[in-house]
Amino acid sequence: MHLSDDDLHDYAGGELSPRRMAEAAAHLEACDACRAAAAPLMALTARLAALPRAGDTAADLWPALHTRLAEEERSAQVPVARVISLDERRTRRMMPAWAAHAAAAAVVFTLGFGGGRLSGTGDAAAMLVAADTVATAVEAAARVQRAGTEYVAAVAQFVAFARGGDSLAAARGRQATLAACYGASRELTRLRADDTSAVRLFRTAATALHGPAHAAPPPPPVF
Amino acid sequence: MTATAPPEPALLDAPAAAPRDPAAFEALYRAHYRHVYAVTLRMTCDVSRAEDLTQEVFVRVWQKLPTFRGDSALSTWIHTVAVRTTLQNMRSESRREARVTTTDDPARYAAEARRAMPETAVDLERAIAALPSGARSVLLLHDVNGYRYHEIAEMLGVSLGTVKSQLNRARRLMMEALER
Repeated sequence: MHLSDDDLHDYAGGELSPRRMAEAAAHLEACDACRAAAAPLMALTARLAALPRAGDTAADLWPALHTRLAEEERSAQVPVARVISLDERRTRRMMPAWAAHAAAAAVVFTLGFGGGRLSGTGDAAAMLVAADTVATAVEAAARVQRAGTEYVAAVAQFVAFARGGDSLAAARGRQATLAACYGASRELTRLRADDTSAVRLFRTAATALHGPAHAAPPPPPVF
Repeated sequence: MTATAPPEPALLDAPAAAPRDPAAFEALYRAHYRHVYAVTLRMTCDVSRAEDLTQEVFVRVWQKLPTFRGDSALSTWIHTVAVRTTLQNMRSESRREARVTTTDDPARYAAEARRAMPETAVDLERAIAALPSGARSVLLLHDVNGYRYHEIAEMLGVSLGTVKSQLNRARRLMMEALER
């Protein structure tokens, strides 16, 4: 039996399962009629796949784009006040010391590792210059940011467990927090020791927790 | 265990709101704009629209970069933003014009394609430009950009069967045009 028109298209586009691809190839090998029907299709898809995928604009678009981005940035900087509910204020007052410390640690890591997002968006120009390619820097920043997010989630989970008064759950939560902390730190230490953006992240975090007097960068963590 | 929600870190969104540096973004733009322009130019077959869309794509990249999690390569992510932005623009444009568009002048487009991509096959570019826009999009997404049927169906919001029939039709029209 000959291959259907749909089969020929699926075969030419590589959309058949591996088993069906092998069967179709064997059939085409043996069947002159199907091979003749498939030939122009195969030639077309091969030529389309070989078309260049990059092209130059007639004029440089960057100056106009730069202006648009500056406008975007100005409109994004309008401050938004956050209303804190009465319940939330009450919760904050009643937060025990250990929970406050955990929340403070979360803030530090959010600042520190969340800073990866800044690197990705261009704030840490130094990091972009130091990296081999722009793509490498942005992808590295995204990994750091993800590690930071996981750490913050683990801290939040730990706080929830501890509040529940279940010491076993709290111990497990603490373990998860430490594991996330380790992962986040490992990502951060991949940055070069003299990387100015990494130093700035440490300084921002230290300022947030202890004030400007303690803003000198700590030595990199050792594992 | 009580169901009390954990305290939300108050500064979680602070980095996204911080000022960003367009000068650093320029390096990213320079590394990727040629790929984005090729996508927008082929899909619209219209130079000025493709240039506008290229800018629009990078504005979106600028806005969405804080949400990029590194799950795929940055170039893949930018390519997807380019395709989705262009498709969205084409949809709203065709709704506005209430018609299925082919490009006004395939030969003019082919000349621009050769200027932008000197090594391209002009006969193919001309035949692509002469396709109805729906068939052209599916052909470009599948046969040029390498998306699979199911990915195209998701991007266009149509069934798998529609994607296949549009693609088969586009290839048939291409082969007829190339035989002439």
